[in-house]
Amino acid sequence: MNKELYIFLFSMWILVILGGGFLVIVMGPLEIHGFEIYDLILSSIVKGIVAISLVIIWIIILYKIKNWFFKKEIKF
Amino acid sequence: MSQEIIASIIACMTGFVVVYAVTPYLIRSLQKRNMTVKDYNKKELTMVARPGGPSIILGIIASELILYAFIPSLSIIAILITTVISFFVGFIDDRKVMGGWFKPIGLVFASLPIIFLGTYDSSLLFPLFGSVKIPLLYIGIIAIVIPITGNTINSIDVLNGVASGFMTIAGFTLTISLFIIQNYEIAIASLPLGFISLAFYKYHKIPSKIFPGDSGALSLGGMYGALAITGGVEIVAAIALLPAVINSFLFLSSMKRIVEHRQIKAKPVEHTDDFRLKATNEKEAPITLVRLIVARGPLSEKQIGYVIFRLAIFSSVLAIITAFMMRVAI
Repeated sequence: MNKELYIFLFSMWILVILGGGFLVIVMGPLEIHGFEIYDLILSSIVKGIVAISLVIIWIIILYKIKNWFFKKEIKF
Repeated sequence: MSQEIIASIIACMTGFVVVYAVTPYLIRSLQKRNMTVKDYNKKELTMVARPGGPSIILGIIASELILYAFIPSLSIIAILITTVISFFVGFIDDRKVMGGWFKPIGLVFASLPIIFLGTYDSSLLFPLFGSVKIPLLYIGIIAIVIPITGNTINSIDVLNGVASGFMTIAGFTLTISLFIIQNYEIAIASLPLGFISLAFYKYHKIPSKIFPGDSGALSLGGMYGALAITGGVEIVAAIALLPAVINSFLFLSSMKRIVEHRQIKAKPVEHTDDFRLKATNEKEAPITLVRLIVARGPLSEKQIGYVIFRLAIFSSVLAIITAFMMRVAI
């Protein structure tokens, strides 16, 4: 079981690194123009939606990995 | 620079000595007032003083005020106020059992000093890929980081010595990471956290003479989150906490809602005849880190604690590697 925990930890770390890279590449250059004083707010809203979507995807991936690793150890 | 080094040494020594010296008095005072709880992982009836938060917060206040006297930085004030509010949220829960939502909402208020004092950088720095500026979104991140770190440390406080031992490892890891990315001011402000956790561990390690309680765990977690935000090492801090994050993630994904531990009926672990811990087969029980550790066979409380510490050291190594990666850009 300990080996699986270390692998799960390592998987989470890799996901954080890759997720961060995706955020920087996608969200970094993201800017909204044409709405004058609302540009910043709209840009933040869109970035927020992208970030939350990424977190949800991250959680789903972790959930699948968790089931794959640990389901045979603990029957749930 | 020499003034900062002197300040750091004095602050760390003060924090350590305050906790080391005050905790025995706190233990006696709590025992006199019958503020003790049963240690369910001991064969004999063992009552342990709780909470240890007052000695922890005294150490934090003393060390950070000394630092502020030498280095009058607004960040130190923000860290201190956030930690004190976190302590009070936990202390209220220690004295009167509150609902599952009380601590997260209370800890959102603890994040307000950082926001109002402006002691943060709204650029989120990622390893290898650089940073992304998210001015409005970052305020939302601050509001959820303190509740997450506070409750994560609280949720790992399951066995003798684990919470304080874990925070010792994570606290020093955060300090090393801050030095690596050359944020020396917050690195110095973070040093007392590791020393205070170490001092408390002396009384918390198995067999525990005192439990940190919600006030102790939230103080340590709140300070950790505040350091992560003001130091701009949010990602590194999250990685150092991964074993505790796994515990919270497993718990929440199996329970599918926020609940107090006291509300859980099905037990994830139970005792063998010789009082080691083993995993139960109850489908309704939450999946926890401890349950996974003992899934293949029963272990003693001490052995489980050491497994968790080894996981903490592993994630600390990953966190330090991540800090080095922050200085590299693809």
